Amino acid sequence: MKKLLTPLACFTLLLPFVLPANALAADDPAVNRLLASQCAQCHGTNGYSRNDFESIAGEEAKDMYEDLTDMKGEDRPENIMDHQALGYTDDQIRRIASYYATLPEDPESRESESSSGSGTLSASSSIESEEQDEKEMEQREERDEDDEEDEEDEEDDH
Amino acid sequence: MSLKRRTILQMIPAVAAMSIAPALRSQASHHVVVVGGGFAGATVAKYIKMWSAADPRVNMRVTLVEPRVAHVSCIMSNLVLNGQLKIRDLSFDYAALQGKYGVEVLQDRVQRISKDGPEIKLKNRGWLAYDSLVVATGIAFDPIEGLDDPRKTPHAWIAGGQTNLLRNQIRDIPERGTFVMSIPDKPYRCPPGPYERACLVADILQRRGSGYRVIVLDANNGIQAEKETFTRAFSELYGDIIDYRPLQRVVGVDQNSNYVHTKILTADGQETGGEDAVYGDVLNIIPRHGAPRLLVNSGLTDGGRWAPVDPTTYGSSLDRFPGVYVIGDSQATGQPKSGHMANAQAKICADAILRRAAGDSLDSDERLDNLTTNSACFSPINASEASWLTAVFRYNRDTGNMGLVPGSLGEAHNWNSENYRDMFSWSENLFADTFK
Ligand SMILES: Cc1cc2nc3c(=O)[nH]c(=O)nc-3n(C[C@H](O)[C@H](O)[C@H](O)COP(=O)(O)OP(=O)(O)OC[C@H]3O[C@@H](n4cnc5c(N)ncnc54)[C@H](O)[C@@H]3O)c2cc1C
Repeated sequence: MKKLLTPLACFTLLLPFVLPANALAADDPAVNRLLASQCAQCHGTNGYSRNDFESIAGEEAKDMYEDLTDMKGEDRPENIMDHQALGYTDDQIRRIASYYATLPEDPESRESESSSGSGTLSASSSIESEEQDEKEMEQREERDEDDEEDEEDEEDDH
Repeated sequence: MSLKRRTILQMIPAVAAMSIAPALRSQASHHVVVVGGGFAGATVAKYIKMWSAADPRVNMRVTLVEPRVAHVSCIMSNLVLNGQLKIRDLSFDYAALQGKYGVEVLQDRVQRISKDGPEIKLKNRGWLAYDSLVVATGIAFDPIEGLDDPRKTPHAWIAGGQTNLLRNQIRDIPERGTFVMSIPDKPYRCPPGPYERACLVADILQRRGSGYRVIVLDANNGIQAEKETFTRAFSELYGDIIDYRPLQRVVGVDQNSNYVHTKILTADGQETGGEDAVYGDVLNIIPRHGAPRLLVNSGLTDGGRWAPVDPTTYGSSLDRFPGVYVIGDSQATGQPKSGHMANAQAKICADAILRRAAGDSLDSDERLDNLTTNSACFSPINASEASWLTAVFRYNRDTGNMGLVPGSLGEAHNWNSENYRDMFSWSENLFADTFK
């Protein structure tokens, strides 16, 4: 939802990013990075989503600030983001927005899916091999449970 | 302590790191050992490596110790019960942590955390020294009288083989059979999870015909999460099948006769003296949780059920464990025990460990005022619709703990197919932020 902004509106929206110079000058980049990393569970590491959830890396700081503060103003919070936005102060939103604005929208460094896990709903292989897998998993877990017992039994001689 | 007992070589990095002047720190590595590669452990290992790569002042070596080749996510595992997912869809190996981020992964099991010095004992490799130790081992279960064979009565509350067993038992339940499940005293992992499971099992059985029953024995005084959603789902969708019984604590199981023995509680959790015995064709008893024995035996839980930590670092609150951190379900901050939350805590812990290694301050007002965590759980209510629950927590300098931010706690107004689709997008990004 992009709106056309009058020069004055632009200026007003930018205020949080240009005015509290003391706040800005003092921003500890690692504080902003940590705060912003808490968006990554849903929006992807460094804001690069793998699906239809919005990627937020490279988003204009003022757009993100405006979006999130608007969500905070909802009379009746409807969706997850309305509630999430209510979890942050305006200054925290400014920090999060300014962090993601510094990241490239589409870094070449973004690796393709690694081999790790499938994590996707891929078609499974034959029933027999599945049953085999399941048996092995149960056996492994039995061994693990025995290991837990060992932990208890060992006398504390250390 | 006898030196013979450990591999001397393994001690060298830690000793070297301690004796080198701060100015040279970037040459000496700071060795972080992470125990457990679930949501908390995988995230902390990844983020320490990822963030430290951008900071020339530190040289972080991260070793992850995990007995399994791959972690099986509990998140979404209730969908294995209705056949929508397979365990392999929820299995995540450590190839990306190793290949992409440079985490060293040891397939081994930690048996002991030394009380006398910075080292841990691995089952197969002996002693391993650390500069920082992050314990992220999730949960263990209290024993329940008579529940001796977990393969006969699976909890399926740590996902894997038990989840498949439970799926098969539900598949084979006799016609018009009864499924009995129990919910332990709080805090337990994933507050909405058991109610979600009750809905999904009811959905499976309802499709098969009439006369099936799902009896839910809850040790708590009511539905613990998404109360409106589950109250409505239990009556509107599953009124004929789900029989929800709060204030019933399971104290025994007879695995031969398939009876579950309960004590009836008062609203504040005291035993009334009343008892009950409930029959089920399939029993899914989820015992009470606590931190695993590894933490209890080492003293990290200080005699309690969970490990007390400082939520600004997740460092143990106990002076006798300098450099030891506990994140995820094992710790005692009282935030919801969820994978999303374990991931959030891991990032605060990663930041703290990096700051300590670099000699940066941990308790500036700016840092403390901006420590946040958040949680989200999507709950499938049937095979095509879901609801959600979310909350944000912020560090409170007065209480020294994380507090729920008013207004941030919310649940979906309705279960619907859009939430069901979002559940897959959310979990895909969460899994990737943790394991990839
Ligand atoms: C049915 C169900 C549904 C859920 N749904 C959601 C959801 O929608 N959203 C959500 O956020 N959370 C959900 N959860 C909760 C979530 O799964 C847990 O909160 C989360 O897994 C906790 O992460 P953890 O890292 O603390 O522990 P775990 O993920 O359990 O990881 C612990 C790891 O430590 C390893 N380990 C244990 N002992 C040792 C040892 N001695 N040495 C070395 N390694 C060891 C284990 O092998 C394991 O890999 C759900 C849980 C269940 C059961």
